[in-house]
Amino acid sequence: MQDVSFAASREFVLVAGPNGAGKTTLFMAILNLLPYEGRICIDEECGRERVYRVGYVPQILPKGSYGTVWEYVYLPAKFRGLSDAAARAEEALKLVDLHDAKDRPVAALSGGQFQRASIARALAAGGDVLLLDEPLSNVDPQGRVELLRLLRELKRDRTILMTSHELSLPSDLADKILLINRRVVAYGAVDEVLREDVLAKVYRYVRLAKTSYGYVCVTEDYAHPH
Amino acid sequence: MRIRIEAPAALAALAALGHAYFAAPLLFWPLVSLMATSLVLAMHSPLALSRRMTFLAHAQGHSILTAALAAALVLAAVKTAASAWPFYGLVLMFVIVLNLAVLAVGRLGYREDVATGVVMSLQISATIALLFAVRMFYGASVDPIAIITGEYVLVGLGDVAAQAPFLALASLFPLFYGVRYLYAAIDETFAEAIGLRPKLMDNLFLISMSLAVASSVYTLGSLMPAVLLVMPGAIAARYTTSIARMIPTSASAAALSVAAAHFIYTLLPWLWPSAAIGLVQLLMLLAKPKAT
Repeated sequence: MQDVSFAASREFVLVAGPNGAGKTTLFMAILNLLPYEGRICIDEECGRERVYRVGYVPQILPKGSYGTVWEYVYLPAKFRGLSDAAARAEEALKLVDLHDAKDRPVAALSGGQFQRASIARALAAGGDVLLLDEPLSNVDPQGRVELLRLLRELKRDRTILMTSHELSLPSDLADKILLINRRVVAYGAVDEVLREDVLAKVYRYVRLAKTSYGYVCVTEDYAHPH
Repeated sequence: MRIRIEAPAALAALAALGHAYFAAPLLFWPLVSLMATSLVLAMHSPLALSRRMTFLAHAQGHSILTAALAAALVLAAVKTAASAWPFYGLVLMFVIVLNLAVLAVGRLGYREDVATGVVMSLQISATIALLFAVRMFYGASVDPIAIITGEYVLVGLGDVAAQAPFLALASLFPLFYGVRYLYAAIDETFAEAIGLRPKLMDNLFLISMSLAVASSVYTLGSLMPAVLLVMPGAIAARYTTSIARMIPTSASAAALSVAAAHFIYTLLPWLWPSAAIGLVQLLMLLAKPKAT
């Protein structure tokens, strides 16, 4: 990715862009797993120094994965050598309301439960910055409500970056939107970026409305028109 | 319902070793060797399965046949026994060469599974050529069937002593990095982000697996290592969902099957122990068709 520079601090940033825009690649860059051009600063830490504070939350669990929910959450904290790994895992599982499910196989969790377990894992491993990769795409309506409730709670005291194809979100969730298409196209407050003229830079077809729920947005990207 | 097989496996292993020591002394060292090699291979099994290396693990089994024949041919030329440590060293060297051949073919632009298949195809041709070479030049000193089935009843204390350091080395990776490696299979990105190094662990695992296979070939023959690299892990995945228990459960499945194979062999001497191990493991898998 080229020209990727932005700074986020204690805010919820929605990362949006068409298919192939590099949303997941951006997360790999934030995790220092891929090279990039630009300067990414999160909570006033830039470059390599911030990497161990970042917790990555994947979209799905690979098929045939082993492990219980407890191991999924606890082991990374242990691998990182955190002395209070078990206590952190306990606390994180309680926070995401999965403490009662800690002995279940992680592969048996629903989409929403898996997202919450992955958030608990990131928190237990010391991640006070969360990177959520399309967390809403494999979640049923009930799971979505629970996940959004949890994200509202978590965003109070930490930075969250979430990729999503969907721009129709409750208005109280995101503070900023980072619109990318192999580079940063727009970055700013929701009202500044969620405008048809801005979105038209990366989407072929855009219809936008603000309702009592929040923004309702219909888009079609250039890469995959119907 | 969760089933723990570690304690029954330890009891069965002790019973089989005790039986061999007191009632069938000729089978004691062969059984010690069979138990040790099976345990070390089984420790690698969940790791191979979790990283989707089952095909590669099976390919290792095929490469061992070629490597063992090549090693036996070299040793026959210099008149050294196939149970001595140079045999393990040569087998290991040939296995590593064959693994490097997979990487070399991969660099021609083939996917890993295709590259493995291409090298396996070449190996089959090489195996036939080596079998004929063995028969023509060293028919009196090298038995190709023994290379396929393993010597088993000829294994003595000296053979176990020669195997032991190789097996000890091969057990280090699953013992110290096994759980980390299994976790990295769940989410490579997260594993890398917290400082684990999945690619380096992949390479260490391949070396460790090659070492385990090479050091087991004299006892198990060149075919059974492939079975023991796949079946115990598949059985373990039926009996536990815990990452931490996957390797102990897999090793326990191997210990149980080796113990059972020992008793079966003493009752039915026509059923070769390594074949009996395969049958017992199949029964263990069928006994629990659904995962816990």
